[in-house]
Amino acid sequence: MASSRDLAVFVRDALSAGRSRDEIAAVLTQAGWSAHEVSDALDGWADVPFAPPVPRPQPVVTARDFFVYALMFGALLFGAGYLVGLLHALIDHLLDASDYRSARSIRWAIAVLIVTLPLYLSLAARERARLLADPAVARSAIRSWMTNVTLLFAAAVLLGDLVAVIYAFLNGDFTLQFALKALVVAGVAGGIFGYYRAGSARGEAA
Amino acid sequence: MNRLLFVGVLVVVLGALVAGLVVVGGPGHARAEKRDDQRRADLRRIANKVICEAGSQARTARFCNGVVEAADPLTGAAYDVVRGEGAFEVCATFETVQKAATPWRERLHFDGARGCLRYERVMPSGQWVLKKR
Repeated sequence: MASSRDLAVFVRDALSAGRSRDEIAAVLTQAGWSAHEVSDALDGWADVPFAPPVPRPQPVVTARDFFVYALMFGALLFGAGYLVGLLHALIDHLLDASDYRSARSIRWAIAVLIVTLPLYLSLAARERARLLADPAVARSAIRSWMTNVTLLFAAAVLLGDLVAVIYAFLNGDFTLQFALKALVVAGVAGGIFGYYRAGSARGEAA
Repeated sequence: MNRLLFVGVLVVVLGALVAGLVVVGGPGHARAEKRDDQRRADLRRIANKVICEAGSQARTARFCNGVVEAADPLTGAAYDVVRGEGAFEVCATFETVQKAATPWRERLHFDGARGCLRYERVMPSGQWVLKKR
């Protein structure tokens, strides 16, 4: 079996030899490479009349990106979780007078948010400024991974919320309190999902 | 991040933070709550000591061990112990409003901020029983 590195070398050599992209795609397909692999391999080289073939920039992985994006998305997920907790505690406090245990959890959530909110907003603003100044940042593989992990978390939470709502409905527990809490979860997770889905669509288009 | 979303997120989170602080109170209120917790615990210890000293219940003898030195955590004043015939009460002045539905609330008899644990002796067993509200 040839590796994808062999494939990249083959495509470069074929382009250098003056073969057309259609020809190369045809022989590769014949050799058993999938359409997706073929187009990925051809996309590695710019479609410009120049020899030797001009490489396109590839996704980059840097330790600095890992630090910044892990911190940023960590702050986002941690903060969002405690924002939901805080709003739930407030709903309990408003609708259920017998609730007396919430004070500590509210204080903890406030402390978490006081740290994570400015951290996330400042990191996000900095990365946005970096992205505007240097579009190469958009190719960060780690950024793309973290975005997709966040999307995964948000989607899982949304689906879990939906399951909880259906279960509560079937179980006869669908109270106003429950409905408001489910709405808070859906709002926070849906907001994060929508924002990063739109962002990753923009990133792919760019 | 576009400006509208940025402002929206900020408003929701800051709103939740402010609402949370309004609900639970600031650090001064939290300290007052802790002192009230201490007062509730002190009242129980003093009541146990009084029952023990009354000497009628052998099985409460373990409470007699050690000295109960309890004073109000804020003022340092001693708690009020009012002994009557077959009854007594220990009282403290609380700083925070004790919420109606809490488990300890029904044991304390309140007159304004002053809350008391009241015990009376039930005959013929001679046991001391906490009077609930």
